Amino acid sequence: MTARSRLLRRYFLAALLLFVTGTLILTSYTLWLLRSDAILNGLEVSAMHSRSFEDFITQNLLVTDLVGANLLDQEDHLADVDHVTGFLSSTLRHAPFLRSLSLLNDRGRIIASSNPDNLGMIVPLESFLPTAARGPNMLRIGLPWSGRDFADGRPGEGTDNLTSFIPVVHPLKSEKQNLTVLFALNPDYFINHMLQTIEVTEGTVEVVRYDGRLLMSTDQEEPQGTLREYITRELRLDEVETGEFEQTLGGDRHVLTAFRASRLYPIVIITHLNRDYALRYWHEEGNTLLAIVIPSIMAVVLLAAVFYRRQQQLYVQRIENQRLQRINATVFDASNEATLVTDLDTKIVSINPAFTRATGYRLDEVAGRPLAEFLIDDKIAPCSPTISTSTESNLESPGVEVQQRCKDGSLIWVEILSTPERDEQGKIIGYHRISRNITERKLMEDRVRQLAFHDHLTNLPNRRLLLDHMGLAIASNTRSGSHSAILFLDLDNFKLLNDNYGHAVGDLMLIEMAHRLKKSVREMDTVARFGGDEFVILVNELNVDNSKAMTQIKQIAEKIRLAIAEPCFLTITHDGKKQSTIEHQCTSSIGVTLFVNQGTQEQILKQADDAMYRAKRAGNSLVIFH
Amino acid sequence: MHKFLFLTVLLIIMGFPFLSEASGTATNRLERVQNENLVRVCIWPDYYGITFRNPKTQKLSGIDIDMAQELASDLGVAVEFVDSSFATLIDDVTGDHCDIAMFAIGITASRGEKLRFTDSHLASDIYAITTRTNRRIKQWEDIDNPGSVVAVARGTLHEPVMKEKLKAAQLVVLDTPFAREQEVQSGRADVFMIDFPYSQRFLANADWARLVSPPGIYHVTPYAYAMKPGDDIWYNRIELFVSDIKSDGRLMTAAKRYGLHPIVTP
Repeated sequence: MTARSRLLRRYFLAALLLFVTGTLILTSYTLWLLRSDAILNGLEVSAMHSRSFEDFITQNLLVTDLVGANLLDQEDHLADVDHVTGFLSSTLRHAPFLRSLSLLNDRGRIIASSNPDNLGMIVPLESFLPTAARGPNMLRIGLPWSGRDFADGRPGEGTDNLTSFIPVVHPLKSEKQNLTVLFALNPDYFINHMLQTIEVTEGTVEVVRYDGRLLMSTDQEEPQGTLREYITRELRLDEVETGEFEQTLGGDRHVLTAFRASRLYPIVIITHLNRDYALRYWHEEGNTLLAIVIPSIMAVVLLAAVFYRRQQQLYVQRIENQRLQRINATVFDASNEATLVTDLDTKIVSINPAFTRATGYRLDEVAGRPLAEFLIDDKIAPCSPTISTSTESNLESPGVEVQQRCKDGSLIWVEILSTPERDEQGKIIGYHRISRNITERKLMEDRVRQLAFHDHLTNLPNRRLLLDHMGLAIASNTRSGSHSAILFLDLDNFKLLNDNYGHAVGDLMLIEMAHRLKKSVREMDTVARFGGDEFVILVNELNVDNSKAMTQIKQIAEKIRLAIAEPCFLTITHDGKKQSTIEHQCTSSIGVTLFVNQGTQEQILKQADDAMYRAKRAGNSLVIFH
Repeated sequence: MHKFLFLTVLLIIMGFPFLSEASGTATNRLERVQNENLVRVCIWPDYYGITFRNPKTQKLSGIDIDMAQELASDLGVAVEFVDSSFATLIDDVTGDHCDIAMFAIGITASRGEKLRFTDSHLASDIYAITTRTNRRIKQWEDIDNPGSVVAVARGTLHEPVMKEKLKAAQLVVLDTPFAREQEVQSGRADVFMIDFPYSQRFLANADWARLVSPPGIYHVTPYAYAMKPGDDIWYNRIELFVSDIKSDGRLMTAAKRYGLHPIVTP
């Protein structure tokens, strides 16, 4: 891994970490906000309950107070126990929050009651709030009693804790008497009301006296009369009568507490809303949010990892491609092979220095111009489909051999090898072409061909080339019906010349004879030397008619015989200096055979040869027909 | 079948007038009702689901209010509802304050001595109502324990039944309207005893109340309409009516309307 890759990887991981951390922080912050909102809302709900219950209890106590006040109106009849009892019983009928109504005398003894069993009971009033000194006709609230009524009950916890009541008194102080109305307040009525609003699973409601004593609780397991120390220790009810706060009860019960003091009586209503209940929707919202966020983060991380991996692969590939391009560029520039790049239309895109060296052209002179402009070959003009098709179809093909025009006007033979350049989809987008200079090879090939098919002394076609031409003539004659003729010619007395003046003179003689023979026939005819002093002439496209063709060849043969018979002057030179000139007259014996397409080349030559020998035997300088 | 019964009644009315003489009534009640074009029906207006007068609207409702109107319709007369109670039932019927008492009157032996009952149309067991917060009564077995106070309305069938059945609990017999509810709600009593029709309607309206059901059958009482003894013509006509409302589905339709179909007797 390169330093750059490591750096990129570090950046990537840092960005990913930043994203994940950021998202988690945002999610946590959102959850925290939602939770705070739920807590705040819970505290408001708790306060709303406290306000509602305070109003309910205060109203009922106010009614109780009014009942006491009404009794004062009965002042004149208070001595009549039956009348008072009837009044108390009828008052009780529509007051389900009261269990009994009694009248206490100044010694605290019950002298009249809706419950006859209560009569005679003494009820101590010391612990009642507010204390008696505070006000003469003020409703005062005592501590809870266990039992159904005073008759069977006792202050505080008793043997029968299944029922309880709260004693409340209303002094009836007047000039005539000092009586007190005693109420047995039914806590179940209030608890029932509160439980209908707030279930125990949602929270609890407590009614506590100002001195911290529990009067009633919706949690029936709570013992009545218990001291709630925090009421006197933490709540400054004289200053603040309402408030909300979060607290933990019993070590592990988290609640949202709202308290509200009664506006008339020394009691405070406290609602403890369970925090879990207040947060129940928050839990759902949180789970929903996390169910969306966590998979989303995982999906993003996964996608980012895949993307990063892909980018890394592409980066490595790009680096490799760049390396390969550099290598290619180096090879391209350093190559001794003239190389050029063309597009699909064979327009030149680039050339390498070797190309410039070979042709003289610079890139700016050839760029954008069709390659065909610089090539001379009928096969590829005017453009170069041949090049592309030949190279495209077979990359191993030798390519095409054409002549290329250099900047100075000279022509060179080149072999162009083309390799298609493809894009990622495999589509051809251009060609790399090597233009290899094969001028020397071409010249060598021409030379070899010359040596193989020509007589090196006279430069006339040799026997092999003549046989080729004869084959072509037979084929042509077969189609046209024309006649051709073979003239087998042998110089007379040539050996004598060789013996007298040497082979060099003999060779001169042969060269002169070859020259004369070529002049005697048409360009289309073939004059070949078979070796020694034997020449063979192929005359083509004679008349279709045999006799006419015969006449034509007779004339030609005679023309040749005469041309050979002309005296020739041979100049002998030594070291390039003329030394002497020899005059020599040479005759020839000629055997002629006429053919269309009958027989093989060898048979035809044999016939002409035979005719030539017959002419030799018959005497020199004759033309004999087969 | 109905026609046959109706013809029988007609024959009794038209062909055997001496029978009504024999019953000791100068003119039979059916004639009187038809002559006056009015049938007087005794009801207990505190009886949820049976004959209840809504204190807010003063409107009567209940299965026997519907049946009384059906009876008047069958007789082709108007109906007048006369307030009564279980405490005053016998006096009201025998004192001729009404022609018939139609408020699901439980057939008890003591009542049978003074009143003449039709075939029963409903039958209910006894149930208890307590407050939701009552810690003493959690289940039926908790009722008859020392310290428990059980309230019943005077004159109801629950009074003799509970007197007989309760061994340890204290029984309070009350005779003012809604006194049972007041006693239990104020905590002076733990439970009050009611029947199925009362419990159905009562629980629907009182959030503070909790039903305590007996674990099995406790004391099923058949309910019927009550008349003054004698007067077979009137009695037979009413029996015919009871038979009709049972067979033609009027009783069941009304019972379903008030959620009482589980206690309709066939």
